[in-house]
Amino acid sequence: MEFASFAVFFIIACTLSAVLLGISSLLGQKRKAIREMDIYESGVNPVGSATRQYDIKFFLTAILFLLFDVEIVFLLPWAMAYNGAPDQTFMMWGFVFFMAILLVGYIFVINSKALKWEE
Amino acid sequence: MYLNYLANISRYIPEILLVGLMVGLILIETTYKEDDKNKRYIFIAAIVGLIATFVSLVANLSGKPEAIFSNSMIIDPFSTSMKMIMVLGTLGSYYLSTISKDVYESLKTEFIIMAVGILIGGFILASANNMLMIFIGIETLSILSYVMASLKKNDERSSEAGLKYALYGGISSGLMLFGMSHMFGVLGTIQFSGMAATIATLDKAQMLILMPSFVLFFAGIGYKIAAVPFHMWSPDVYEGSPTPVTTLFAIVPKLAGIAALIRVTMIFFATPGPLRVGWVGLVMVIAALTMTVGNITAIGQKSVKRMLAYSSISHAGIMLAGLVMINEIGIRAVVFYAITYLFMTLVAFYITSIVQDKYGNDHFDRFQGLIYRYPFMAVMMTVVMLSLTGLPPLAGFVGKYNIIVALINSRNFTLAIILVLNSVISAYYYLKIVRLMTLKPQESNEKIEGFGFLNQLIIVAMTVPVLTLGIFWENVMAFAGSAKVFIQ
Repeated sequence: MEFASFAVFFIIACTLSAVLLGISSLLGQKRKAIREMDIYESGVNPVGSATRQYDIKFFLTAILFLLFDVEIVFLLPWAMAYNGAPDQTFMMWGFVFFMAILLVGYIFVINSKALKWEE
Repeated sequence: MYLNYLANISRYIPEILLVGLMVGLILIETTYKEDDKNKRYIFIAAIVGLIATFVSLVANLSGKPEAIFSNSMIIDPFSTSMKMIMVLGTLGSYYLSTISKDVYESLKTEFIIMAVGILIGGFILASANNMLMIFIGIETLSILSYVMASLKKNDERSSEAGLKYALYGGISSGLMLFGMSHMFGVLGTIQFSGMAATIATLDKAQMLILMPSFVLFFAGIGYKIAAVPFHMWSPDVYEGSPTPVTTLFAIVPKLAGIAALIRVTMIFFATPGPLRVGWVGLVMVIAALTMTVGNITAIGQKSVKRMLAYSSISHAGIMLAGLVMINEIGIRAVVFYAITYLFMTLVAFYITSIVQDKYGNDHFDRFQGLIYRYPFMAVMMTVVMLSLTGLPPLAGFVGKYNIIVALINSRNFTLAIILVLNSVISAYYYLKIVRLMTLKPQESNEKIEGFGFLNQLIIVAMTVPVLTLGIFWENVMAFAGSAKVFIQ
């Protein structure tokens, strides 16, 4: 039974968390202070309403940044593997293919005026 | 290593064509001015691209089954025929989107771009041969689906549909990943072939430990095909999304999920053992629940689209029932059922969409007396409804009959009886619409613009398979029978 240790671990983990939560709710003080109701209990007091409206352009720019940022992250392992690769021409074409698709996306972003602030 | 990739690429042409089509459509849309000419280009490009994909799939069908890309995907007749059905579904829902008022004029191109993206996800899912590919397929499918569900930007229900879909999708993806990570922890690989080999060496207790992770894995795919404990998103999403999107959702993700499930079942559970017993029990219970809950909830619906959503849940249950025997006869029955389901769903949604465009909603009452105004369309709708019920001599009957025969041959009498009872229940709400169309006086005698000559012709053309497959089903059955799952 190579999973016996796993089962023991699982049972101990479950009991431990149950016991800890149980003890604290049995022995702990029960108080409903006003402070506990705050959004940041021991942080700064919140200012204004949380449902304030922002301009959608902020979100759009942030999402587009994230998207292209992640694409760059994908290139990192490519660059790391490039040096020792058996066929660098093949890898290069893979890179070109990847960037071409990305470029089309970029053209789409530009042409649909997603990055234009004024309008 | 790289030579392998290039050697396999000839089997991967359908997917490459689709990616090219998607990128090309984005380029056409964004670089040309928005006018009618642009729209015509896009229409031609989309239709030609999808038909080219279909043709290349047909060419792929005859090749010998093989594993490509370091055994991460499998191109076999089964995945290729499922892909062909999915391409036809996309084609159908694309044409519907061009005539529907439910998709904003400015977003019609985005519809087809994202639909092609969903199709690519479905392709990956249908031929995935390791856990990672399954996950990538599901996510490609899902993320675009969330956007498509909220395509009607100014409509509250559509936004709600998108948000609900995204939330459910996130949770079930998380569950599935958790299950997969557990499997990886126990088996040490994500490759299906390696996993199956390791499972064969486990003893009984170890297999039982694996079962929960397969249940979690099932949750991820079960959510995509809207099997019952994970179906809560489906009616709201189907009702809130624009009708062409609903049509796409009812076909592509559902069949892709079923295809992935069939492959997983065939690879891991073909050998007898406690794991197989557990999985078959799970699928059986879920299939029975999916059929029954889908049908019973469909009875009380006021909106035809919502009714069709519940009915598509119950059809997913019927297709799941074809999985429990884990043999080729079951798969043949499921593939045949998928083909009939494709045509029935397309016709039902086409007619609903056109009626809905006219009146602004899709209540049952809108169909009153349709036969006096558009006798052809009323007859087609009646044919499709009877076929969905499963009455001979229509395609739906042969589809259900085959699944029931496969169930009885494998001695799953309970599930067979539940399936038959469900067909009886479903007759009630399917025939309700027939009654409204034929026996009630018409609400008004206004024209419905959508039922032009061309659209009527297309609807009739799509109903022809529903009629003929009920009688001349041998060839299609042979096609479905040749769709064998290749295991490597």
